[in-house]
Amino acid sequence: MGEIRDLIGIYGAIDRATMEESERRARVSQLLPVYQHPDVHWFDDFEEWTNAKREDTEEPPFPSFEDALRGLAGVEPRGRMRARRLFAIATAAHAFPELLESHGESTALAAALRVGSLAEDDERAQNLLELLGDEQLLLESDDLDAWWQSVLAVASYNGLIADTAGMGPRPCSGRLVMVDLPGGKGPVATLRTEFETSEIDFDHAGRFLEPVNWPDCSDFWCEMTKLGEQPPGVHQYHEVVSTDCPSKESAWTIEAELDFSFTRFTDTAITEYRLRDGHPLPNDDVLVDEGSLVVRQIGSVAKPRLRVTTTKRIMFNHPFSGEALAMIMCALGYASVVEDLVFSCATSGAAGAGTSFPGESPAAGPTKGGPPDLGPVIEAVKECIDDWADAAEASSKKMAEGRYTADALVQDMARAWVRIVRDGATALDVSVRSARMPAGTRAREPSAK
Amino acid sequence: MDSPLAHVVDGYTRLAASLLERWSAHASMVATKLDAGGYDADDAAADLAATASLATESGFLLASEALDAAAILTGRQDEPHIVDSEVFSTSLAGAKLRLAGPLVSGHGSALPAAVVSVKPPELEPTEADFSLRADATGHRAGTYVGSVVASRGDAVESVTVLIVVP
Repeated sequence: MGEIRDLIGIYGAIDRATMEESERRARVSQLLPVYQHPDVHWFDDFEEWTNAKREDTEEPPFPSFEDALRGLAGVEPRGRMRARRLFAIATAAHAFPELLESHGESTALAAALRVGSLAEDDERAQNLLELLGDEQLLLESDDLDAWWQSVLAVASYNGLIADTAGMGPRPCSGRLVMVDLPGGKGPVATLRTEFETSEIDFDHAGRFLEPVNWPDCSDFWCEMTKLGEQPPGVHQYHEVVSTDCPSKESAWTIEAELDFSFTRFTDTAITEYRLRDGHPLPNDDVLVDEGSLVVRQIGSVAKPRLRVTTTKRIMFNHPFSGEALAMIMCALGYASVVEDLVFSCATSGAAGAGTSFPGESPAAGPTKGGPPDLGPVIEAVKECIDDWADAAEASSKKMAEGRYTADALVQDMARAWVRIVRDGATALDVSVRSARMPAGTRAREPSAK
Repeated sequence: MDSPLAHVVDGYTRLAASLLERWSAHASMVATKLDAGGYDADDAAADLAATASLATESGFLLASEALDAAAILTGRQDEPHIVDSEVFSTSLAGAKLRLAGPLVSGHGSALPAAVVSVKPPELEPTEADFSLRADATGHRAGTYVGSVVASRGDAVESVTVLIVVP
């Protein structure tokens, strides 16, 4: 049974539990804010659709909570799947806190963490489970991303996980918006995810953006077959994704015909996709599937850092709500392929692994200019840092003393804007003037910060 | 946190605390380097980039929070589909900025110049950064690429820009 199918079984049990008790829903919504909406419920509908799509079989399409935990205990997660498993177990621990106090059930949850690439023995697995279910840690964190980083830091510091490198950002962090389709064909769910990483350089990451690499990076992609390039620059692929590729006839499986385009600048690689012209056909499962994967280099050569942006519009031939689709995407990892490419393949692959990024740059020339005189910049940086540090200290003190009121917040926000504009302008102006750029007509590539 | 206003205040409070923590850490790191002596041009360049990035990010996060707040308070989360780009820069501080034409995706779809604005259209004398905002309502998803022409006196510069439409 597939690992992704097991994760869906866990999220499905959580989804059903949130319907029955508002307290559980409130606890789950701390990690999955989409559940703040009281009507969000997806699993029964998804299971029914899966049953209708797949071949007749007695076996349920997704395992029970208990079977899912048993299944995970026998599968070694790799790459990004380690983070997905941690997050699913954390959500389960918050949804069913009583299980942490029940020895047998707690053991079942911990067993899903007691695998070589996560906790190496029973004691570490139990401690890791308690960390994931720590309500106080969640309440004390500024936001969910801070909570996730705290979990990884504590797990690493205490040796609960031997190596937290390559875990990546918090799973299921996609932001949902509803977007009108061209021609007024109604709103479609759209997910946008953005994260930064310094675990891999730009060239290496780019080697996995070509879709033929995807099945090697995620068990969710059964097939990504390149069919051709017609017209030039439009690359056609046949996609097959499934919750269980080896048994896809009895699992949730969909196929799509996609057109891809690839664009590359010096510091940016863009992969775009959409359904092939002429699709969807009447019996297609996927009515809308389009988006972008954008990898940008925002660090320096000495300190490479990437910003990765993923967007995906998705509509199936089944009337799921936007919130339901967001949860389905979360459980499947369907909108998060770049996370698999970066954290399951690129960070662990050999230097020559993957394939050359096929994109070419549109017209854009190199940046010109002489070596900058950075002397004045030093002073500007010092002033800028000092100013912000003072402001941060003052506000932090108020917060620590419990004197940070709504009025203080408004004042800080106003001051922050003024400071950003003033300091940013000052430092950048000095920098730009110091660079002694020659005047004249020239082209520059994107230089977003 | 039941009322929309409570959600807004809560969102700002969390964001403010997070930003202040990061600024404190950044300032502490720079202060350590300054105290150690030998703060040179390379250090300054690196810290300038980090400072500018953090300042810009802070601005965008605050702006995003403001947009979220507006959506929460008004209940209009579905339309129009307004998209902001990242920040780009020109070497011509104080320049006038205009789009050279439509932005085009890798599949050839276009975002007409009429639905894309350059912010600001004219930079202050010491400003070099700008961004784009597009009303992408009814347009295909994709990453749209184009050029912004910056002009100041006789000097002209073309800056390649992009905006990701979810």
